[in-house]
Amino acid sequence: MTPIMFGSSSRRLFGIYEPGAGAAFQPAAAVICAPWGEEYLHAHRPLRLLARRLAEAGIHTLRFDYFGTGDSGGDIADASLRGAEGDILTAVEELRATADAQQVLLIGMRLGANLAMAAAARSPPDITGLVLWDPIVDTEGYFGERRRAVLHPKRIDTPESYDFGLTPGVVNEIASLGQPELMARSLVICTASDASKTIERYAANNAAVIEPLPGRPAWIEDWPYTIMPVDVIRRVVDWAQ
Amino acid sequence: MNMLYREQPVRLPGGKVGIITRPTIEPTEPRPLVLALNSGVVHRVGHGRMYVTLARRLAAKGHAVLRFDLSGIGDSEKRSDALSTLDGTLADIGEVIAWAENSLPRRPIILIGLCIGAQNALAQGATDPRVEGIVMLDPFVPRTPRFYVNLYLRKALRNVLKRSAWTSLPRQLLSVLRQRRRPQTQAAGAESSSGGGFQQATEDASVRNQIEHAFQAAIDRRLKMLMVLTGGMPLQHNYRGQLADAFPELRFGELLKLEYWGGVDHVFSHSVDRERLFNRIETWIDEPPPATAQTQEPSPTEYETETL
Repeated sequence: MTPIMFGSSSRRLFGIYEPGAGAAFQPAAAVICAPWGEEYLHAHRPLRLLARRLAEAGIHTLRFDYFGTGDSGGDIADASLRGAEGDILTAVEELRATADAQQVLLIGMRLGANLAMAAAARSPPDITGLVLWDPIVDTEGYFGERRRAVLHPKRIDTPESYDFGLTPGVVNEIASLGQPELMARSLVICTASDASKTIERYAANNAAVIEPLPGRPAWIEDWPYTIMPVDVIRRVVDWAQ
Repeated sequence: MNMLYREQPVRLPGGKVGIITRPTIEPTEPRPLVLALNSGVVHRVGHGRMYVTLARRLAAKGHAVLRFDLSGIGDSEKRSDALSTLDGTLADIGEVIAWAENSLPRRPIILIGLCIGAQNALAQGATDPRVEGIVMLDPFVPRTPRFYVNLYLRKALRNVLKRSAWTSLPRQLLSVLRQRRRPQTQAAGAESSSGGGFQQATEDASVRNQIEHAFQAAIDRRLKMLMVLTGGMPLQHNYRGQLADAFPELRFGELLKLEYWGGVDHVFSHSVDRERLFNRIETWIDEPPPATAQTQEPSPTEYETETL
């Protein structure tokens, strides 16, 4: 496991590279696209475990922070979804170069899944598969969830007051989120107890395999009920191999 | 790349991961190194990227800041020994301080922590001579009789205009009486949704004694302390003087700067609150260490405070 800085000098990105175990040459690799804002914080642990399990299965992985978020350069005011899509493609290039990988899978959780879809749509030849872990299919519902997830609400007024990542610019981008056509090899996982909206959104897409796997959200601080989403992790690793 | 600071990931002893933020131009006189400790299981970035922003601001003023993950948190590996959680944490902090002493020009250390991070900062700072000061954000403060008066009075005032509250008053009073008769640990655990374990812990006499001894050790070695209590832990503390009332024997004098920000939440979500916090920390770090021991004991309530 190696912490790295990559990208350009004006757009430095932080990432953690985990080499795939086993034979020296492994063609498969995965870039993990984190959720946004506070969800990123609480999803950090499960995504780290996912990366570890993928690496144990022989798949090189790169987890990284979008520009303006996490340990990457820039401030949150500099962050945008459009920019984050580009950061994903930069991460893909970095992983190809570092691991000499030919096949790169994108694995995204929540808004990270939507970003992964959009990045794949921008550069289809670079991406060989998509895993969408609870993609956002209802933007109003998403904002409501973020608001309700605040543990100690005080002076809740703007989205930014209950989730620091929801700057006005990002809120506008989320509100106009598109739903690009999914590529040939896509796994959509829904952990919500009611998966109907996700199924409705993606059922018409012949490329997608949709799998409801009901469980607690991996991106919310849910003390003392938080558990590792091992079923989802296992499924993703199986599918990626 | 920013011209005022530079950032670099570092591999720390024991498989720990950190990010060091340093000024682009180092001051001739090294300024204190700030170590940011994890808040619970939240990794080194902190809520709302708090520690990233603070690190960059401090680096722009000449400090080096190391944000790192304790063993088993964030990207750091678990410890391979059999130390208890607290002992392992203190060992982690000690190892990182030793790394810093070997890797950077020697300078005093400031620890900063939120919630359990604040407790860890106190535990380490109380006895580690390399630590010059600690910043504690919402540390655990034992409940006092006045805490309960405030708590139930506020609930009563909120309910006074509710018709349903009046009709259910007998039932509520009975519930309060039953709760007070139950052991404190049960009451604390039942009330809280988040942090209940921490609130429960400070009701335990041995934990209270530990905290008091740590504060006394900090006072004895003239540790500089900044404590910010927010209104975001309503089941833990709810007034400025709660620390003094909980530990009436402690004589902090000028060593402790204590602030009570009732309108602020536990993780300083609002940008206005966060800006205020950063400014306060920056000002406090620049303050000279407290003068030598006073000949006269100050009043236990003579803490430096600021009015909101």
